[in-house]
Amino acid sequence: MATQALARIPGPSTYPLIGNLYQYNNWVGPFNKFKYHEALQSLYRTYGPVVKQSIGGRVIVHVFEPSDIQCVYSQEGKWPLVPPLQETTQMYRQQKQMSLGLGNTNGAEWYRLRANSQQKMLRPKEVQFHLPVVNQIAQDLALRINRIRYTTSEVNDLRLEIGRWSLENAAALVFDHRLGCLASNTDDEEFGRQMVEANASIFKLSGLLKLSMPFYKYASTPKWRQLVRAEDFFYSKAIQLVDDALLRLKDAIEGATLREDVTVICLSLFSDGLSTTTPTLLFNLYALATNRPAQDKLYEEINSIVGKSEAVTEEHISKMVFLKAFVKETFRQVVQVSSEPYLLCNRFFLGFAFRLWPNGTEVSRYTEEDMELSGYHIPAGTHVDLNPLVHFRDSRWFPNPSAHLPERWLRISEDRKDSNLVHPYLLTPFGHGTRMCAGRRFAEQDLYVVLATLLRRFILSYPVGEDMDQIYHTLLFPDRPVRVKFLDRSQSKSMNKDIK
Amino acid sequence: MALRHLGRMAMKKCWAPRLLASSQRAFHPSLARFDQEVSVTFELSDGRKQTTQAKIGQNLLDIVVDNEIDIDGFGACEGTLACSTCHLIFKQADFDRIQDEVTDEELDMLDLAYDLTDTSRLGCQVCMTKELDGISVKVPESINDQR
Repeated sequence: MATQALARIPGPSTYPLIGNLYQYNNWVGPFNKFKYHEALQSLYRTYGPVVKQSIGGRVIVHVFEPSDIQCVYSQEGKWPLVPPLQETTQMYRQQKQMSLGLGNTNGAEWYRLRANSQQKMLRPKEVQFHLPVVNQIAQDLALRINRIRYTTSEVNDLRLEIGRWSLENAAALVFDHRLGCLASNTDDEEFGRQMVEANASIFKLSGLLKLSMPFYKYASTPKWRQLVRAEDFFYSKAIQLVDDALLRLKDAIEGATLREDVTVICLSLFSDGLSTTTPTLLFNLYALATNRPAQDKLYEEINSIVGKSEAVTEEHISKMVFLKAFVKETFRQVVQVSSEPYLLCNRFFLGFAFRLWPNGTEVSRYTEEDMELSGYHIPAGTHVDLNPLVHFRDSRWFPNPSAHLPERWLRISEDRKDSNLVHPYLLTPFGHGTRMCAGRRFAEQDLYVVLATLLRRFILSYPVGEDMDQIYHTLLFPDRPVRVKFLDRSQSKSMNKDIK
Repeated sequence: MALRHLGRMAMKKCWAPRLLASSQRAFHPSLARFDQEVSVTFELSDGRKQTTQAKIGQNLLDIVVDNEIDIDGFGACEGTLACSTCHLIFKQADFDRIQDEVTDEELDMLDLAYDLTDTSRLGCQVCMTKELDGISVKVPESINDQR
């Protein structure tokens, strides 16, 4: 078939614009704004592998096929262009004259920030350097859960506790400072709670504002003021932590630019992990608690590899293949109903997530060269959204798609070419290439260590009939308290009967 | 550069935020023991061959960069295991002699490489050793060459 021009790409009809509010218009039309995944699914089914949307004269091309996604990634240069983020936080940051951060910049400014931090953040050897403290914090979380759980073996607010864990990790990593919010010291616990809740309300309010008419852009609405209060609180505390750390380093700091860059990177690292790693861990705990066979298999792996060792080491992690497969499968399962893992990278450093849709499921790029995608000619400079998630429930790509089966991610053979059952470009929750999530290795390490630590101590179970759904707060979070029960493994024999 | 510089300064003072202070990038252990040169040949996708001298312990990405070997888009992420642009194909015998074992992180990146083979590795993860002296590695075609 001859290559077709961009103009011939199918897509829903364009409607006349209403002022410049078009960006906030409910342009998805018949779809529920909260279910962007379904909207994409429908676009894909109706129009095929390449779909064009025209919004206010701006053309966005949706791409779904893994081979096309591969094509977009592989033509990237050293400085891929990502569309800018337009949302409340950006407006807040602009008002406060704060830097937009790694995720929202392009070109030389982005590269300066990235080049200064990526060797420390992404090289496995550098990331492993932090393992001792990551272990300590995971053990502190296990101790805390043990201390505060009710007689039903549930904890009061698991999301808050996981938030504390994430905050503690972020501070230890970025500032070499233990906040102590997992300990039983009331002040530090309270500080942790305030930070976690401020962060949660930033996301909740941003989501709400994004979904309504943007009056807040022209007048200070109550929700906007609430948002500013939460942001003010969070950032004032975070900047305080940066300043404390910089003070200790003051002789090494030369010039204001460096200071500013350090602050930007520290803030990104400190705050972005909180909203991404937290739900990811919650979803993994939920998946463990509701998939007992996989949990048992994972425990066996952890037990045989970590054994009696007090801490989880890099060597252990390198051998725990089932653990990694489990986390991948949870990404797939979560993605199939939502978009959370995509936001891991979007929100973190690609940072363009919720520009047009309530929840950013996509990875976006401006193409740098002309290319052909599924028979259509895409000229350079086109805004392309990569949406592989429409396939996650498709048995063509994932046999038995509704089952949580970590095994599908295990390499089945030594032969490199045929070692995978899954197309590699279907699941790239952290993105790929030079704009891959800069926090990826930290996030993975934190997750592996904490999952192993918790499983060594507890058996996880879940109340029957309590299925979890997700709610959109800019990112997707569990829609109700995640009621994971933490049963003492040492007493498991006697309690085993009560689990189900 | 700034953060690295800062990290180095801070290490002298025995204190720094962990992120700024962790060890500089690890050189291959054999670097300390051998200060001798080895040679590597890169077979480029257009058929040209380029041979260069390298130090033991240097990884293949650094060798390409230091010797200004012209490979389009090679090593885009600067050795941070975020892309697969430094994908190289080894001869089986050379492949078996590579000391650095492949990690899951590298395998995941290799999965995303174009034209993957059973003897593929990422250049940034393979350090030169005495045993690898004189090897010839193939630079695979990129997907762009196909179009």
